[in-house]
Amino acid sequence: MFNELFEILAEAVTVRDPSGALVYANAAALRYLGFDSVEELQETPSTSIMERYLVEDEHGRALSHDEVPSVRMLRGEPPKPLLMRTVNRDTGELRWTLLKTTALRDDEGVVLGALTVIEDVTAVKTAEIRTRALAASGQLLAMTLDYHQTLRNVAEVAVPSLADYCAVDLIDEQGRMERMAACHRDPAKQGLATSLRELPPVYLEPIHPAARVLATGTSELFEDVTEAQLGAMARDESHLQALQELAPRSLMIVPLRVPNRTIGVMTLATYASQRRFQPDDVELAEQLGRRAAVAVENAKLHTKLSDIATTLQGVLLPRELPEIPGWDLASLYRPAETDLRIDVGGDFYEFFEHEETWFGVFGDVTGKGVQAASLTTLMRTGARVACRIEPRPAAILARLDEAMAQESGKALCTALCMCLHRDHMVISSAGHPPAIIVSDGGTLREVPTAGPVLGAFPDASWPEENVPVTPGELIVFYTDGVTEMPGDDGRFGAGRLRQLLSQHGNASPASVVKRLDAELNAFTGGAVLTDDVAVVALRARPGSQ
Amino acid sequence: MLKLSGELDVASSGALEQSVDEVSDYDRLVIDLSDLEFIDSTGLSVLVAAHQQAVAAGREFCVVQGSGQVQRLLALAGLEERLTVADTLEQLLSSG
Repeated sequence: MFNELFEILAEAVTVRDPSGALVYANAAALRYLGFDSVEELQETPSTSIMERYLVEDEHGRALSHDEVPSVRMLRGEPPKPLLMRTVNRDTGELRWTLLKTTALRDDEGVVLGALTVIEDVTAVKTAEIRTRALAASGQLLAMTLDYHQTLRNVAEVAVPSLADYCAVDLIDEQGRMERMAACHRDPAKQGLATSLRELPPVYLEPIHPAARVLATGTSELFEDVTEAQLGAMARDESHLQALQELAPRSLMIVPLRVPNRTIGVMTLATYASQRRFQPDDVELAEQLGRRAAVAVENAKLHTKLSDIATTLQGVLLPRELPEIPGWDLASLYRPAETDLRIDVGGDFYEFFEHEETWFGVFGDVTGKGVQAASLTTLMRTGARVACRIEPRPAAILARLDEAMAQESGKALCTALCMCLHRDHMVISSAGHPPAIIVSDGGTLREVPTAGPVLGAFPDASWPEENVPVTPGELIVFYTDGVTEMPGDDGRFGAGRLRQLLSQHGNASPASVVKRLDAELNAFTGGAVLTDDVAVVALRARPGSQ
Repeated sequence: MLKLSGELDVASSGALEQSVDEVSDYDRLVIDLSDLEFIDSTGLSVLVAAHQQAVAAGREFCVVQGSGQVQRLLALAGLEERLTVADTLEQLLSSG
């Protein structure tokens, strides 16, 4: 009667007798285990049934026959349900199976056998693994802007949830394929995978399946990899040996596609004893490939922008202040952060020698980033040129004003222009915060009275002031990024700047600037800068000529 | 008349620019800075551009003076002497 009931059940059910022998399996169980009849099952030792499969728990640990719940129960241990990942060694088919065992007892409670329900949870478990892999890939791909790391992350997501081996190749600018990452599930084979990764970039033979994937953007699946297929992928004899040693059973190559092209390929493989890839595995790998490709493109774009930024920065700022004989100088330059992370800004300074006299221009073009920075070049080189025509600060500002007015757009520029002498300074201001001169005793004076900003008014002219400066006095130029820097406690303000200079103005220009930088940092609490900051401090050394 | 309050900086000056465009049909543009707490160089450049446009179109351009930092920056940039600056809005209205 029970038999009849079991036979019509969709669930697979087996029974072991107390000796551990499989004595019964319903039709569903026979199908699941691959037997034609109960007799055939009974004649096969259950250990050898298990040997037909590669059996692991969900963490990839190999499971032995002793750990099967029914065997444990008959040993007197609690028969905890067991989730198994099995791969049929012949067919390469992957299955997830949940085993639940209960004891069959007689009226006296004596154990008659172990009844096991075998539940096929492959669909649920596979979907779960895929969802998890894609979710993990999203996190890992967003983690870094270093695309080498991005690709290593991709490989690590793929192994072991999707495959035993994953390699990622990109096409370089010469059209060669370069291996960026390789990950093998088996630590013993990781060395080999790494050595393959370190091979130099290579032009692909058209026969190589990856060449087809690159050309068509369509994935290639080799459910059972043949010797000939391995041969097509090998560069030479020793490469072929290495591939044979990796012994892929099943292999797929999917494109790394961005909207208009394929930037590389991802190769996924299972090794000899393992499962065969199915078309839905390819689909998942393609999804991962698309995500990886976008992440790589973003990271590459960022790298390129950073390179451009570094080049621009080199052009847009004097690398360091020049050595002015008899003077000590120090500067601080912190550009505002922009979305592009290009560290250039509208603040600028330039010191240059003209007929044995030193001139300087120090200023701030409105706006931030590359656009403002490009105008700073105009101001810096413009000042040098203007100085040759008429070496007077007010005349230099007048020419810079013309240059600024000719620029399209509404950008303005504030600037100080000065001519440095040991005992005095000729200085002119175009709407710029005044220079602060700190005496030995810590008293401050501010010079000069400002004229109009550059680029704003057609009829403007600039007053020039002749300011006596005693050698040993500290001269400080700064942009409003210093005084207007926002913090928790309002703006940094001229007051804080003046106090710092009054107290520490006797220190070297370098340490004054360093202290100011530290105070600004403390004031903002290390927050992102919203405006450029520039400071130059200089002092004529007393006594030297 | 445009009345500004809060802070006129890189983040907010785009809005002022747009507002100035919208009122460009009037003969007289008054920008009231009396409630403005802070202005930076970008904000300043919008005021200068508005002034230049007004002058080019033969329109009148006035500002009602701001407090502390705002007025200092206007003075520093040389705007104070070039713009019609009134102490209060009332003063401006009674004069014009």
